[in-house]
Amino acid sequence: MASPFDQESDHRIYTPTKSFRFSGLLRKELREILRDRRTVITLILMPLLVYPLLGLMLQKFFLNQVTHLSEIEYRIVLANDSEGQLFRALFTQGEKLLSAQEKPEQKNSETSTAEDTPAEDTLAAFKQIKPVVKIMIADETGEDQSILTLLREGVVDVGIRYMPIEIAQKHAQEKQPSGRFQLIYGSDSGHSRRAAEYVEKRLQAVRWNYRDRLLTELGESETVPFQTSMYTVESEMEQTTSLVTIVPLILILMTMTGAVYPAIDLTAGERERGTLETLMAAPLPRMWILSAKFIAVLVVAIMTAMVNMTAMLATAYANGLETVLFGEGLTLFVLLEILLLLVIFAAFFSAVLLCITSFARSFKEAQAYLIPLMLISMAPGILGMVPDLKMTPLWAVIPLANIVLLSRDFLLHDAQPLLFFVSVFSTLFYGIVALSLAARIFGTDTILYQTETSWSDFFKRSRKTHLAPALNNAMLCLAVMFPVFILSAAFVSRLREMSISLRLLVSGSLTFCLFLLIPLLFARLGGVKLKTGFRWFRPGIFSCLGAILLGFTLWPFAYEIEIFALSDARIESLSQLFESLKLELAAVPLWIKLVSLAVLPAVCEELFFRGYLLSALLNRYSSLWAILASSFLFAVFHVIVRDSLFIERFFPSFFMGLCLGYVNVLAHSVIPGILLHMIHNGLLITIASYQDSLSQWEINLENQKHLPLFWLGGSLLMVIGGFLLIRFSQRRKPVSATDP
Amino acid sequence: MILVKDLTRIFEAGNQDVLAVDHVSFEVDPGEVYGLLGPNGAGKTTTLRMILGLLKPTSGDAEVEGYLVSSHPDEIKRRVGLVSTSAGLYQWLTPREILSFFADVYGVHPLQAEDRIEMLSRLFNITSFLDRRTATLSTGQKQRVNLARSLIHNPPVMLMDEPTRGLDVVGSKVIFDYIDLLRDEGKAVIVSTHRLDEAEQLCDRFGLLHFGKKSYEGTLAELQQCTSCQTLTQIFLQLLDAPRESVETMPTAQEELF
Repeated sequence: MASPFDQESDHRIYTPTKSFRFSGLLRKELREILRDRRTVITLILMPLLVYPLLGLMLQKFFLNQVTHLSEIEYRIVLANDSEGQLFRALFTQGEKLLSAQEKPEQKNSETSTAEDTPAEDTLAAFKQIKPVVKIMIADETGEDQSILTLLREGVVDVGIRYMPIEIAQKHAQEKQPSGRFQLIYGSDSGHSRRAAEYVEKRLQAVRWNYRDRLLTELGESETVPFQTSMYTVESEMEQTTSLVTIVPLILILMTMTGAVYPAIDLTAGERERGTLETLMAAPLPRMWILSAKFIAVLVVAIMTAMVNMTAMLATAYANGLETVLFGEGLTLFVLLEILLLLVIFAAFFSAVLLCITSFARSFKEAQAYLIPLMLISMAPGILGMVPDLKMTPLWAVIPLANIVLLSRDFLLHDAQPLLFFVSVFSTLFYGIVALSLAARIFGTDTILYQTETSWSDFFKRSRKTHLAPALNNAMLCLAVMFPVFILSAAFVSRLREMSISLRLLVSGSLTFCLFLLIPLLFARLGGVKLKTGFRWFRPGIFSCLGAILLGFTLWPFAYEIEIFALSDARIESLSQLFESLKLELAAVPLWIKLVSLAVLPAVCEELFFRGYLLSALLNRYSSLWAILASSFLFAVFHVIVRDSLFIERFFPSFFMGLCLGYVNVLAHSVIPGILLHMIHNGLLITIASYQDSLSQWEINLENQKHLPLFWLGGSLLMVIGGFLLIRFSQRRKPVSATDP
Repeated sequence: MILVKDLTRIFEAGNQDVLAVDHVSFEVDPGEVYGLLGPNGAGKTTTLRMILGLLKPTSGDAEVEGYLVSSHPDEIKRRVGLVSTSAGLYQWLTPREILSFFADVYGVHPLQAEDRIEMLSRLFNITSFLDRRTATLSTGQKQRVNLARSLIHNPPVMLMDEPTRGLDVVGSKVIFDYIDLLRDEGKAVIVSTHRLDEAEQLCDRFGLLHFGKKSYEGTLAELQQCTSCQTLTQIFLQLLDAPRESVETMPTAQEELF
């Protein structure tokens, strides 16, 4: 054997600097995934097969409709032969009269139909179809019964009864036979109704012709009071009937399918094949490995989207279905816009996929996780197909639904720039969150080696006690609380028949359960020591005094921030809302309002946001980032009120979150924050209750006026004083983080 | 060259703490082949993974060429090659692509990488299938590609985790030659195995792990002297028969979590 080390150069040929190339890593991932037969199948074969087949089916469907239309048959039944003869004579006469009227009109319209597209041909064909009328005679016995029975059974479309009337005519010498035709049709059948209208039109023509002739004979033809004529314009309603929303949905679903396989293969698959360990043993940052995988998945997803879009367009053009599928407004720019949306969506979805597949230890496990995800993802996408669904800010923040609706609006040239940005940024934001979660999970030693951990371990109690909750414990707690919070908010809004006092109490106790019991459960599971985990330390007396001072003086700023965030229109709609609430609230005893809106929320929210969550965040991040993150989450929870979103509540809540967080960190305890929060809320409620007497001080919440400047100045001084007091308290008692 | 100091790893499995490695310390010099022996679940693989920085030790540290794994994991990874039977190959790439990818990842200069691939493929006799997709290769061929891969950055330290598991006589022979070669080149090698016959042939010194604890350490002669047994197998059986308490005091470490 020759020696591998017989080089002249330094025996250690690696370079100690981080000079390896990320592109090398990316190239390997792309090579591996793009050469994979399964990727090629979803990427190229699927669209190549699916779309032509779909196109064929759609075209068949339309052709079928046309051939079906050309064979329209109206079956008409009459009681007996003589009536049948009478009807037939009148009907033929009406037919002639109508066709004589239509002929000159047709000549005019012929020139314009020359350059119609196939889809319009279909509509034109639909209009020009001449129904075949079949006149039948019912069974002689029990004529009434049999006509109705035949109609009910759907054997005929229209039943006609004739009731002769003998009228002594003034002008005529002899008695002239007259009568009434009764047209009977099935109320549930459109075809039957159209048949009845068809017959009625012909009979009417005869009747009018007779009347016109009489009038002419009498020399009164010029006295017809008015005439009508018809004129058509293109209506916008027609467009919503096209399949415009289906296009983005199909594209999104195909993009999703394109991304699924690479995501599983490059994470769980690589782990299963034993190549991930070799990669982790190389001097590569974990984030680089994950990023390369993310880009590879993204590239495949985008390629799938592009191939699908091309195949779809080609099929649509080949079959002449582009107006049906894409609506009227298809331009290259719109296509690029939709492609951009697909890229953004692909980035988001790839990140979510990687997050989930990084957790999985095998291909099968990853598939098991992804199937529910795919099903869940279908829901907002299909919701987007609801006709006439308007894109709103709420829809813009719902992943998948926002992209479907936005693509539809692009196709209809109806997209709003603001909602476009909201959708794009929210989608990207979710993507970043998912990717950062994936980075935490991907390649950690527990995932790499510990085959025994499972989801059930999340529900087992930790045997070690910890002073502060782990960040993933707190985040999981938050993830459980958020949907429960939304559900409970919706639940309270359904209790309309209850008195408002009772509703307030229910909502208060729900707050208690949500913000206290759930974190307590997680603290127990995570083995977190309650006193330290919820930052329940004895505060300094000056800290409490400072917090009380802040509780009385912070509200003007929160109030000003809220007004600043409100638009005039919003103020109006809010004051209307406020008006209706005011009467209801006035009847509630003050103590109920104070307990349910001030005391309970203050205690529970502080213990969770500034207790459990903040101590988990402080465990990992600096005070500044911990306070910012907890305030952000605090504000997000406050945006949801009952079953609607109040975006403007975000800013004052964020501001209060920052102040409360700072007080908490300064005082090393949750208790001053509780006092501050309680007084702040209580004060606002009391002010609202005694508003009439306050209005003389130029505070008018209903009209949302700005506060007088001297109020703000005075409050600012007090606020500074409050914070200084708390700081001062800590200086004097530096080791305050001891048990009470 | 390699210095392992009090390495300890506790796995949390459900409600139980499993002590996989219990204060293991040893040293390996350049040009020495150290055999890490023990039954299944003794903590061999876990120890190797901690040395390489793939697993975080619960306590203790490992040092390679003066770098601590706790503070300079990347420096360690650059200096260590890993051969493991569980390691796979990228099935859609060719051996040449795999080798040049790892050369790139370890920061080998592209020009040098080409020479090195050339030389390693001659050495391990993989030239004939260097441009075939690895999915089409036989187990023996894949094994040789993996050995070449572990040497692409010419590391001074080689960790081998059960390198002969699942191999036939020819495959094992390749490994034996490979280890001899590493020794000749002055590399520090740790081989983990439960095949005692092989270990006797391969290793200069042994460390016997049982329930995560190092029970014996020394050359074969030293071990023979201290246990009055002739072969490694006898020494091993004696160790296994010993009452558990004398080996260690922790709760059951039934199976290494792998």
